[in-house]
Amino acid sequence: MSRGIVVIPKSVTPKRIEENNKLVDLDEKDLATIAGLHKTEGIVRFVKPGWPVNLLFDEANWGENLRSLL
Amino acid sequence: MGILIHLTPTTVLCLPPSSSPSTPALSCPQLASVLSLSLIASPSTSNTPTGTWRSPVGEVEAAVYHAIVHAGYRHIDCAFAYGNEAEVGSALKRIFAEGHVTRSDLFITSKLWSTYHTRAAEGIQKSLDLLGLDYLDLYLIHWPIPLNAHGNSDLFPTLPDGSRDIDTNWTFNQTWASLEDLHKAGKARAIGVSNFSVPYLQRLLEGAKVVPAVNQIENHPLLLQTKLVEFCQSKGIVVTAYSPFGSIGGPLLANPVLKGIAEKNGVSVGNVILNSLCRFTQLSFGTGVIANVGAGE
Repeated sequence: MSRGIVVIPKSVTPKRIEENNKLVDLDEKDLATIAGLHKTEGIVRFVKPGWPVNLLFDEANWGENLRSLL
Repeated sequence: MGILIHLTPTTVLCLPPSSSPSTPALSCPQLASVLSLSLIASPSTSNTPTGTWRSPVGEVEAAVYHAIVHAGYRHIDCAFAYGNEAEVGSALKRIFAEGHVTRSDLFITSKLWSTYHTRAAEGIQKSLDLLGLDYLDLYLIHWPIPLNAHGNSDLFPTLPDGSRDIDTNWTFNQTWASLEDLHKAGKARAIGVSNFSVPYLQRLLEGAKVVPAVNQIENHPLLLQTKLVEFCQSKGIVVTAYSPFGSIGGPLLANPVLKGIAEKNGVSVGNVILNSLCRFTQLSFGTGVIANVGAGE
């Protein structure tokens, strides 16, 4: 991981596959909480390769001081 | 309102109200179960030593075999830069030979790496050869950033000062024109992009003959990117969400608020995230969610 590369599918677990499959009937209150989560916890972009350019994303931008390719 | 399709075994997919002419393949009803084989470059590393890393031999092959044969996966999200397309190809060869599925049962995506923007035909052929296929269902521009094709690395060329070696003489509009040719030639049944913002998409569309079928972007509760998603919807571009659990280690799976909602509903945090993303998208747009089944383990 310190070398900058990580592989995701170390294993394919049947349990997780079944879990992910489940259709959950979230109520409006839950959905509103999830949709508003970024207001209290901040907008977070996890995948930010060190490109020396500004990709001009609205939220959680990175490379603001760099030029864009446009 | 989008159409919510729920399929076994992994996730749900919302398509736009009507498929655009460029996305016939995306109406494939078996699209929703996605096995993603991504490697993720560390955000803090400007000099990524790709090529030094390989997963233990056979691991990816086993994962692909298991996903398709035993878990019902039909959509595989690959990329040349992930460095494991040969192993995916080995798994596919075995799966086809054993007769579990045929090529037309599968939906296989790959991505053109940045050092191949100026030579897309070569890029897709490399992926096709590694995968052992003669066409892709979907081919994406991985990032809108052309890198020097003749630099000091095949994947991440750098300049003497260590910064990435960008090819400033090439535009992603030219890359897109190359993908349109590949689409026309039948090498890619659908073509699209990844990591494109609204301004970049607008620039792309200015000269495009084919509207991208897909924009694959990071999307989760802390990065909803609502404006971008709505823009894509307005153009008939399907948004595919990567890293729905927050990428490496799945940090969102440990989020206390999400955990509380999961406990209340008697389901996993992953369930909550995937279902909420699809509910949000169902309300206003079409989105596919890619869940890395092995993430965080």
